[in-house]
Amino acid sequence: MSSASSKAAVSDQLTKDSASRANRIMIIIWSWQYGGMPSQMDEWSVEGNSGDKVVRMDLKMSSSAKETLREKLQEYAQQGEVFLFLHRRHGYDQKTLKEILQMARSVLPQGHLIKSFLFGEGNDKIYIVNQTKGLLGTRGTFSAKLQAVGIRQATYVNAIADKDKKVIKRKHFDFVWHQYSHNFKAKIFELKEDLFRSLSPFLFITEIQAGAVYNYIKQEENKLLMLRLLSFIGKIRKGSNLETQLKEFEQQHKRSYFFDDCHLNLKMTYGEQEAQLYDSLVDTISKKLLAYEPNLNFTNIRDQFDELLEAMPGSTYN
Amino acid sequence: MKQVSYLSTDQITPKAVQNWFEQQGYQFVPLTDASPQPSEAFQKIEILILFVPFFHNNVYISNENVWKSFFQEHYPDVLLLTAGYIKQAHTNYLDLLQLPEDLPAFLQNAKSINQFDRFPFSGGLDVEKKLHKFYKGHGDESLTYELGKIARIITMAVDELKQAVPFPEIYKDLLIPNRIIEKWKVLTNRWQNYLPFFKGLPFDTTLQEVHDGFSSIAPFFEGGCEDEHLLIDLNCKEKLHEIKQKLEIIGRQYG
Repeated sequence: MSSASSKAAVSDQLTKDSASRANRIMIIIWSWQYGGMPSQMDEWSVEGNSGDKVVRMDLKMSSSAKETLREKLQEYAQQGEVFLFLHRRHGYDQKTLKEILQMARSVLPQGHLIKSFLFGEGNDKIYIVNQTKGLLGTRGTFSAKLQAVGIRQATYVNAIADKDKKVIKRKHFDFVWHQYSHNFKAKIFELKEDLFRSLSPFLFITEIQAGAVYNYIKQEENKLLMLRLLSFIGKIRKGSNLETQLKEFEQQHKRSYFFDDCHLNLKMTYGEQEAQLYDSLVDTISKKLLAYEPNLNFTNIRDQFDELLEAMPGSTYN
Repeated sequence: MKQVSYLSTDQITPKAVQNWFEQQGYQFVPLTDASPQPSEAFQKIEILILFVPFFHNNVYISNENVWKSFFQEHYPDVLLLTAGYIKQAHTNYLDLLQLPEDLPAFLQNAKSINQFDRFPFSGGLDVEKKLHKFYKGHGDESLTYELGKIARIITMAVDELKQAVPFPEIYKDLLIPNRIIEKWKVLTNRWQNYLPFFKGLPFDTTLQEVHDGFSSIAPFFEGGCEDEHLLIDLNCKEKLHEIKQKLEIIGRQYG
């Protein structure tokens, strides 16, 4: 399929989904029991009496957890589009994410949309402390107290519409859904911008010596950029020091830097073409930028970023 | 030496291109006040480059065309350009990865602000769309709609108070039935949601004044709207009208 027709197909699909208002389901693995959830799992509907729902699960990673998740994904994917959110602290990583998705998709007919995200440490857009229209509050709840600059009184933000009937406010649900629909595109765009800004000291060097850029990125002051690039090319192992350092940067900056869930989603949600463009960019970054390659061509790297971003439908941010 | 001013949230790139500008005969200076009202400093600018997109509150914000409207309205003689890492061809855009060899010639060919429609989009959050929702959105999105409702209720409350209607009656018959506290919460929540996206816009100072205005009357609302002295002493009616007017002025041009 050509790039244009592939993009058109994705766009058609999105239009169709939006027109038919496919049910949207978020399965969120988090510390819900800490917030008072009596069982391992429950279901909340969304204001407006649609088929949208939030499924809460508190499930530490294990073989049986993977099996349970597979079953749930199969079940919910039959009902609509599914976003699966996995809390990193519950033991989930890129590897387990892949296994779960592969298991679930192997038995689902094509076209069932499942996107999955790893989140944690309070840094992602799903948290109310980061986005007032988020869903996850403090200590396993749907609510949080926020202290805004210049406003004396703390604002209490609650994503619940009706606690007894287990109903979530629509605007919170819609906001998070929309944010995560665009999440990967924004992360890639931000990496591109930050990368070229950091590399601007090389703009006027006509013949960049082999390894000069790599050595520059390796410097302590560029550590964050290096970690993000390593995450982008899939070179950060779970439990490693590098992972800890990148998590610390995330916490410090309240930004999402990990790409551990990106490639899989590009492949399984966006399509093969996007996954190939991603792979090709990963290849360039690994073999040229983070290597001893002479005469680096920045415009070529920029073009690859742009090609990938253009292939992903929708805007960078909502 | 001719001067080129610039606005940027990125500290590294302008430093990297400083020498290049100077070698080509231009003094390259930052515009230190990044949120100006029409001012004397702006009247002195001949050439201004915006390094886009701007980065505020962890989001890349594309505001180039809002700045264009500002200059078109107030300083149409300024030669306005953008610079960035997006691949775009435009007479008034400097592609930082493919800089022109002859900068004076490039600037000579750049169009004056009235001669082109829009800057190429820099790829970040489209602030024009946000502004549109801020002013013209419905229900959950428009802030000015919510503000209008509150201003009307408070005006009525103050007017009735002046006509010697006892405050407890106003509270019971006007403020409570109109759910003023709830409306205030909605308003301030929306304000907090929008404000970060409007950083670095030409009317940033006005927005800060609006923010200060909200903060100054907050004690009345946060106290449950029960204290008539706060209603009067904090000039709630006048402040709300001031805020409304300030936002309307911005809205007429950019909303």
